[in-house]
Amino acid sequence: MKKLLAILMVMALVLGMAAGCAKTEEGEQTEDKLQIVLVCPQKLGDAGPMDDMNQNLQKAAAEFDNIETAVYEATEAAQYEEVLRTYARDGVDMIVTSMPAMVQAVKTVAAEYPDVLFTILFPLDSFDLPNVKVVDFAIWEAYYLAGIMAASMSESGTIGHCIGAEQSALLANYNAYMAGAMTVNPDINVVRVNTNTFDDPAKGKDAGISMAGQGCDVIQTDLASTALGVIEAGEELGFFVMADSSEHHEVSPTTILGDTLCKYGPALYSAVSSFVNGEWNNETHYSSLSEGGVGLSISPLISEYLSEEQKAKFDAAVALIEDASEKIISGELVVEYNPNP
Amino acid sequence: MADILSGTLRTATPILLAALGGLLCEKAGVFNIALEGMMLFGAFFGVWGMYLSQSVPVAILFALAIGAFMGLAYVLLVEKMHANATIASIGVNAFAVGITTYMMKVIFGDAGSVGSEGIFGLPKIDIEFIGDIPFLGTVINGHTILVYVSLVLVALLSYFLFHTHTGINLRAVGEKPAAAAAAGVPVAKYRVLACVAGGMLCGLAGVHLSLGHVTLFSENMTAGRGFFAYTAVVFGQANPIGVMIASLVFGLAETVTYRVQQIGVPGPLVLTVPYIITIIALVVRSCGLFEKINRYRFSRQARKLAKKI
Repeated sequence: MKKLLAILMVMALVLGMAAGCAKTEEGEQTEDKLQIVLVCPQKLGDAGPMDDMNQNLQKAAAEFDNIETAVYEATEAAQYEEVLRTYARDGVDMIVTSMPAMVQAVKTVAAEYPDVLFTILFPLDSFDLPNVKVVDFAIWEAYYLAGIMAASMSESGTIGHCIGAEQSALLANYNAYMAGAMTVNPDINVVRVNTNTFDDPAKGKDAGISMAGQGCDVIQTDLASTALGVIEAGEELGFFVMADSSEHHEVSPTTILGDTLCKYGPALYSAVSSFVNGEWNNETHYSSLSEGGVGLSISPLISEYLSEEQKAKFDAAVALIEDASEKIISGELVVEYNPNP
Repeated sequence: MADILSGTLRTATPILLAALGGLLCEKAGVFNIALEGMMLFGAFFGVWGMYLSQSVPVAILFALAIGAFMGLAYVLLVEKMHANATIASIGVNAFAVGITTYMMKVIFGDAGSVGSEGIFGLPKIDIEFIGDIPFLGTVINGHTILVYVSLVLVALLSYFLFHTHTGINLRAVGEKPAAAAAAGVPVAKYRVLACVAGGMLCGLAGVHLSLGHVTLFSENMTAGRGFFAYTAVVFGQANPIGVMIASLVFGLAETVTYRVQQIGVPGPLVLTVPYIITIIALVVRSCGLFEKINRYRFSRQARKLAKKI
């Protein structure tokens, strides 16, 4: 028994050495290239943030010849830390990841490996580490554009904004939405309702019905999946909805005017390119309209369900939005982050 | 005003249905805070049944069947195998969230929420002559069938519990099982049946949420309504009418929040109303105030009876 154990241990040692050697050889070969790894906390193929990030990583890999990229899908929360640690131990240059679920793992591993740089997209948390960069979204810029659309399409002069919590980020979106709406109609009345939940569609529907009862004929959501209820209320009572987080055109082609979106891919691309250009720092970066990190996706399906009069308003709104986004991108117009209630 | 009351009725229904289920368990003397999980099962299986068959009765049957099954499983765990009721309830609730999310992924290929063309909601009942009544029409008319069913069930349960032999036996089983057993009432049988019926009511509550209230299923969509339901049972002293009033109060609090936020009352404050009511209900119950009132009532009745004799 003892002998067997001894043999096994020797074998393990030899294997370990062999592995160690192999690694150094590999390291020498790719020394001149920067190694960037994307660790996805969800499966690829979601037609959403994960695929978007992956595509943009490939795009960056094709564009910059001094980087080498890899993607890893860590689908279980229990894996996160180990996957990050494995790559950090391998000595990659930068690990890119995303989502609030990853925060704890990044905090732990980044502290263990101070030489490895980490970039995390949309963590909804702050890091006090010199080697972690946070990329967040200047999503309020998209809400400004949404406000223009909502005020243009409203006939009653009352529009709604439904939020899932009274957080400063969401209040900033509300203020930007109101500012956008006021550029079209200075007397616009904006009803703000808080459902206090992001994952209760039934409550969303109640909120939608109640807001319609208060005269809103266009409602913007900032609610994640609670928004599905607002959309249903819109279908039932016939008001327009602008949703958030992902594209909802297909969910309700007759009521969705557009969606405010965070675009993970362009945000990742700009993080990677700033890293390659040696501009990486550990300050929080807000990916904005100008780099394509946020945007208002206007529904391509709605126009055929609109009356002539509505269609004219819709087209005018689209033109106004294009104009405003050009101004925002050129820096002529600054939409401020204003979290006052 | 009318639309607030109409909203109250709509919002209160899932809570009321589940609370009636909880009431049956409570009356049978089975502690059950697994209402939340059973509701979630009902919500998912309703949507699944609808997806498979595209028919409302089948969807409701699916929800009833899973509710009955979960009720049976729960009562076996607690009564037959003597599991701790609190832990068994937590188990059922956690199991429900996990398994429905998993099945949603497997069956619908979507982990977030499902709602597709094959899934349509319960039909709304529109009775013209009721709809024409000015104020009341808006309040009462145009709900889905389960809203009316829940109100009818309140009356039926009221009659059943207080005016039928079986109902009185059931209450005896809950209050003094030993006495009931001595009187020849099969305690175990009553408890099993009460829990199965309770589970079915939770299933109905779930299907009302996923197909009556909205037309989709999303992860953990009951969002604590099962716990409100249990509170309604406690607050309503396990009396069908009381439970209905408690459910309506919860429904009203939820509906009114969206409006009072506009007149300057901070929304989060209003959203605490159901929780405050819950705490008050629990305090009142633990002080034994209800018992004192009841005792007073009984003693008065007894005195009257004595005078007659």
